[in-house]
Amino acid sequence: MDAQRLDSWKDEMTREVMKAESLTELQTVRHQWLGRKGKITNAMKGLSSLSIEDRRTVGQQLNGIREYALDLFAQREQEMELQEETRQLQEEVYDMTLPGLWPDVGLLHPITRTRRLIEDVFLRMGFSLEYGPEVEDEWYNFEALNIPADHPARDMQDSFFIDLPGMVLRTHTSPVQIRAMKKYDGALPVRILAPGRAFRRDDDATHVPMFFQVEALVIDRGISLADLKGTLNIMAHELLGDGIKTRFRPSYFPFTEPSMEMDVTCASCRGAGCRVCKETGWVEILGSGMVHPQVLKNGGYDPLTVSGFAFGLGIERLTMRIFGIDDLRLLYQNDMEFLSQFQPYTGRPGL
Amino acid sequence: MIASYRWLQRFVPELPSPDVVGEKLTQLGWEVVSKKPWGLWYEPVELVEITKRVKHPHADHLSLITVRRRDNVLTTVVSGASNGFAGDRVWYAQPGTRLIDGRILETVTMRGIDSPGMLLSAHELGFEAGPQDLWIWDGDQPLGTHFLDVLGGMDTVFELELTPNLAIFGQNMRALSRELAASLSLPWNSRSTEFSYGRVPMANVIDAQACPIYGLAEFRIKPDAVTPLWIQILLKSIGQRLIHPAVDLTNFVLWDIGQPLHAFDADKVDGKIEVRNAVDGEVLATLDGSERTLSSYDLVIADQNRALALAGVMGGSGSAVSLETTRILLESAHFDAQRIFQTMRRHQIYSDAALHFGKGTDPHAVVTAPAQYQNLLAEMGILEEIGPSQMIGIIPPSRQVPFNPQGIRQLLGVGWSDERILDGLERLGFEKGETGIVIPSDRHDVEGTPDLAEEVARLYGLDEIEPRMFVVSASPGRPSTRVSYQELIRNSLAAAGYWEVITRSFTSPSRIQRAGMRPSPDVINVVNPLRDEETLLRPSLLPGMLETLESNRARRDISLSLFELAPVYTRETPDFWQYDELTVVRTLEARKRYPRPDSPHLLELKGTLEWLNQKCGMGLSWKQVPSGPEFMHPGRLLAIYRRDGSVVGYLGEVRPRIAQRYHAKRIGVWFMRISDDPGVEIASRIRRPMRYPEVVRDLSLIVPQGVSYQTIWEISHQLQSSILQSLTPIDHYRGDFGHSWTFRLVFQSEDKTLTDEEVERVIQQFLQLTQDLGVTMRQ
Repeated sequence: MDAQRLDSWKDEMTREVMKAESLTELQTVRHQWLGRKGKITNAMKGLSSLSIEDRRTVGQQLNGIREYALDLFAQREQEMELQEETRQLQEEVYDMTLPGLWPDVGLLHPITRTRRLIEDVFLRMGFSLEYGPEVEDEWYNFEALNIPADHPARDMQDSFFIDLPGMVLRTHTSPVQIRAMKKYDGALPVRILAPGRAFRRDDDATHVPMFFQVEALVIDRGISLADLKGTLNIMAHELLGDGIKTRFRPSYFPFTEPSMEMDVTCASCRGAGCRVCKETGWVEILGSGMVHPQVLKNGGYDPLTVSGFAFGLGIERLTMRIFGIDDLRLLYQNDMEFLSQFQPYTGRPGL
Repeated sequence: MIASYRWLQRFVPELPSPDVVGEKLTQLGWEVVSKKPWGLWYEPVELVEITKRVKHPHADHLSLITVRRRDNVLTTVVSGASNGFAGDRVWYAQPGTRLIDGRILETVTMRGIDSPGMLLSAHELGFEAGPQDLWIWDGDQPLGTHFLDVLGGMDTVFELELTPNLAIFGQNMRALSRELAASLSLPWNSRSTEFSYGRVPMANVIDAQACPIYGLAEFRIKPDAVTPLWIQILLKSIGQRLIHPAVDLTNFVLWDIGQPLHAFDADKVDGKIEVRNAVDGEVLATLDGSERTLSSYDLVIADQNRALALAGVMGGSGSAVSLETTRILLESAHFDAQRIFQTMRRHQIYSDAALHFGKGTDPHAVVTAPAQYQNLLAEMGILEEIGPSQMIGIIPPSRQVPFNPQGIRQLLGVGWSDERILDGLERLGFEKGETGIVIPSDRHDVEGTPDLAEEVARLYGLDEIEPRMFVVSASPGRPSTRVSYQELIRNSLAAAGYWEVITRSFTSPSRIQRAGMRPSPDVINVVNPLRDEETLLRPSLLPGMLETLESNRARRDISLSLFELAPVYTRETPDFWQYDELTVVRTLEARKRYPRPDSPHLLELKGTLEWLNQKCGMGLSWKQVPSGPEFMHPGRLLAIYRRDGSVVGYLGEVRPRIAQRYHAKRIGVWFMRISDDPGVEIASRIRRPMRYPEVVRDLSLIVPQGVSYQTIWEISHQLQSSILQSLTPIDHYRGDFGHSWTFRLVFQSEDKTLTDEEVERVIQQFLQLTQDLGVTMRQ
């Protein structure tokens, strides 16, 4: 084993390494040199047969070669890995302009979302949620609300009757007022919100026979129309934004006295006057009033010591307003193309 | 109701502009549906004088009439009128004028001669002027005067929507103007005088409850009268038809002061008048040309032989006035509002009289209305003699309610002084009486302090009330646990990819049958449905949900995953007729899609049930059953049980034959009753994650027909191995050897790394047990 021959190993090894075309071939070459029976390994094993002097010089030389080999193989391996990766990446070019696969997410109905928005506003104001049956006793739906059997107001409320004597499909959520008063049994304050279905015999672009309402009732000592206005203004701002303006007009409901309706600025023209608002700049949004003394009595409260206000709000109308829908019937056709438009963010995190 | 600005000015001469009036009406609670100018088309019609009339050279019945217009312009038109000679002054409309019937005048050629425009009859102008062709005008206005100026210029008409409380007193110009005058602080001319009734026995009131006050007065008049033009103008402006002077005057009084009057031709009345209940089956020919069969619920005005009129609702044709009438028998009565309202609805006669009487009229008007009528007859110059008259019943004394200004302030939340409150009430016609506030006789709607509060609030405007926020002890609002639980279910299903829909609560027997369901005897029927498809309250959400699938699939081929949580209705339970049901439907058809098809599977629906049951702690269990609801596929059916063992619903596939009716090959459905109790209370059991690696073994087994996964899963549980964590099917195929299932068994230990031997031991035990079922390892 002479130094010259060992020197030529470097060139030989370098040539072989450069000749290898794949990582596998490179492994083979590495094995031939550095493997258990590789040339360098064998040569190192053979050192013991040399004289002490030779052992030192050849040993040093061999170590140098081994270092060189390790570097050479590592460097080449890295190069080849990079090449290999580049090739793989080139092979795997994918048309990322293809449409993505959307997650299968579900959706809550816009009516549900609007209902929750309203509930949230009033829960924050300390109102509790109450519920009543949809198949309602005529007494709760009419008489208790000061609508006697022959009252002209029944003229306004065209009701669905059913083959259960004395029962009616509730025409509004107002009977929950009476049910809540009875449940509270004279306790004060009463602060309730009653969302739910109601039914009337109407079907056109602005009326459907089944619809959703929210009823609110507050009873305490000294409650006034001014409190009602204040509450409704807060509600309007919470639901429709701070820019909204409100207007109150006298109205009539058999179960409130005085009664009033609230208008808000028209969404289409922002108050300038257009076809939607009949050139008035206002659209009606709800009916309200001070609870009629007889209704308080029917619920077991004394009108001489307490007073209260109530209002009823159509969820559909508010939904239409919030989402900008012009035909009420669309909400109940459950057309997926229509509903799917409610998926994108509406600009209101709470909705 | 239509109101005319000009008419209102009769009572309030200083009325501000129509725009201000419109705003005030809104503030007072009268909804202004529209506000339109009236009379525009009368603008181009002008007064001309006839200078020459010659026969048309080619037609016997036509004439060429030359007229002088303003500035001596001469125009010749062809006319077929029989009157209109030199020196007569008539109304002329030039080409381009739009006539009241909608025609637009053009220059027409009549038998060879051009006729630019037209000379008009009163009828063509929309008015009545007696039997003459052209309207010969005897007023002294200068030539060229526009007809509109004769009318008093343009008017503005308001279409008003009245709430029921306003309709009680407000369906007339007098009441409306009183409100405006009060709110604008303007003088108001009440214009009422009283008629002095005689004491001649002319009538008997049999049912005094239905008719508390009944007045009759006879007026002898000259025949062939014409209604004064100013009354015609006002009636036309509010859309009333002109009929006959005697009737036009009653109409005028009706809209002027709100008292319906009825004029009988006295010569057609036989003997004394009777106000009585109709006899069952009695027939009356009413003025609208119909024959009405009456019942004893109807009140009639009759003579000694027959019913003459349906009291307060409509007159009969047998006693109607005509141009020849010389003796008018004028009825001014006060009826019980409910009786009239009911008759109106029963016979569907929504006459103006019934719409007034049915809401309640002013009893005092029984006395004032005939006086007004008499004055108008006198003004027309046709009143020859006031005949006999009688009033039966007495005008009730005015009502008073206590004056409680503090109560009013509290209810409104204002600081208005007693004086301000009283002043407002007085402007509206209320007075301070001895014991309280005297209510005007037409205000039946006012009963107590809240009503008076409403009056002043309306008058001063709700804007005057400063909003404030009530103060109560702070306590958080409470949602209902039951409903919050339902909301959790809704949120969960939406998160799982299902879309919430809301369907109507109505359905019909045929819609139920179409879904393959049998209508139950427990359904609740709607007595007065809007349409045939909505005759009952749904006993199940399913038909409506399937129809929702159908309507969507009819338009586009998409897969659908829908749910609804809503009430269904039944008479099963004695006092609560609804319970909440959850229904989930999903189309089960693969849809082509790149890079892999979208293929929903029934097991995904089942998986949603399993997941929801855990997520919402529903405490449900389920079992495959060989039969269930008739519309369900019996081979793929799970019954769902509550903890007490009762069936609450099903999950599976609708029979394909039924699914096809709804534009889908296969539909997975899951419907169940949602219990009123929120989910089962579950103690939280969160454990540490396992630290030692899991060992996975896949076993391919040949499973005989009839052995369910459930059986195999149960066996894995019998092993009671603490290291076998799960056994899930990962592959299946069917060959000539039977079913082959590949199961993945996952092993893991809480306290050590498992050895092959430990895992192998469990697998051998498992195989041994399954061997008894005929399960073998696939070679």
